[in-house]
Amino acid sequence: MTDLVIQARDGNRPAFEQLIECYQGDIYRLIYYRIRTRMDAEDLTQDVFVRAFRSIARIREPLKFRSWLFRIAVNRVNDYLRKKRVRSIFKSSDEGADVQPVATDFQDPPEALEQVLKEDFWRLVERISKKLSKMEREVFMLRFLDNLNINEIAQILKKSESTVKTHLYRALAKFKKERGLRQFLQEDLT
Amino acid sequence: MNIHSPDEPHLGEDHILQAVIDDSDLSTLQQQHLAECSRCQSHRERLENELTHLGQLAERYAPGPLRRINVADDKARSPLSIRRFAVSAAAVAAVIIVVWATFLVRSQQQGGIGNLAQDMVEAERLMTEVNVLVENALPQVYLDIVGETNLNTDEDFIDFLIPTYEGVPRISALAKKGSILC
Repeated sequence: MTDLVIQARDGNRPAFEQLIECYQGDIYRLIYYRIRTRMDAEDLTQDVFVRAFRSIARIREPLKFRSWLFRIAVNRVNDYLRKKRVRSIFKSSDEGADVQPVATDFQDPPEALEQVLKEDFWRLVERISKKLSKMEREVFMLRFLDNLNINEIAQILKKSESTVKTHLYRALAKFKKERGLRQFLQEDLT
Repeated sequence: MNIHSPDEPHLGEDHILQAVIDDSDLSTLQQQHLAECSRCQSHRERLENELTHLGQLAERYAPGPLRRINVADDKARSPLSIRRFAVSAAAVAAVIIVVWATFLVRSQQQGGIGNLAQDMVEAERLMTEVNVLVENALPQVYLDIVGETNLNTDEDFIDFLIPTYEGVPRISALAKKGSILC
């Protein structure tokens, strides 16, 4: 992987395209988990890779490419959410327009059940997200939804590992009290 | 396999959370306890399983991307095209400003000449009124009372009223001699 990064840094486009293949799914999901709109998540994913392509020549440590790419994605999501908040001040009527409806009427029962579970799951994730502070939410999602380790999270957020652990500890303490989500997870596990 | 002594206290909630985040942050004794106590281990594993499953469900319930990423198709958003657009926009803005400023200055100049002409007309009218007042300071009503309305009578009428002396009109004689004759 490091070789690919070095080649891409040296202007090798096929190498960069291979990197896209490797990370497209991870970046898309990271964005989707935070904005919950497929179309916008696709647009932002495209934008993240375009930005990465433009500035990969400046990357100093190819080993840290993954966290560098995730940092671009996290920053891009934050920009998007900030702009969305500003827009919502002026326009509140289209709130929720992006939410995909639960079309259970014309679906087969197993698909309908899956759709209901999916809606429930994201509703519960949304509920716990609202109880976390911005940093707690970020470290919690990076750790347990995006499956990054503490060191990578520290690099992405440009914080020390102990700071990341502190926020993660607080987030976990709140997660433990969130009975709805935990019950959902336990029932799905059994 | 619980080889842990029943008298020894189990790890508390906060230590379990610490262990989930990074068990190397626990003290040596706590790490040893965790390694030996099945109850604390299961407590930790339950929480870890829930969190792992949270990630798995998130991945399962996220719709997959339909579009392929293509950085080559993004020429429209390249910095060069953005720069060109900015330059073009600046040029158009400059032209608009120049045209607007020219129009504004011209309209102000025209307004100035118009005002000057109006001032001159008013001044002319005022001077005419002043001249009339110099000629006849009294209003017409008072002029009628004092009988000086026909001050513009011609010299023939004066000659009729006061005949000339030796053919010299009286008024002219007055002017020449500089003395009163009647």
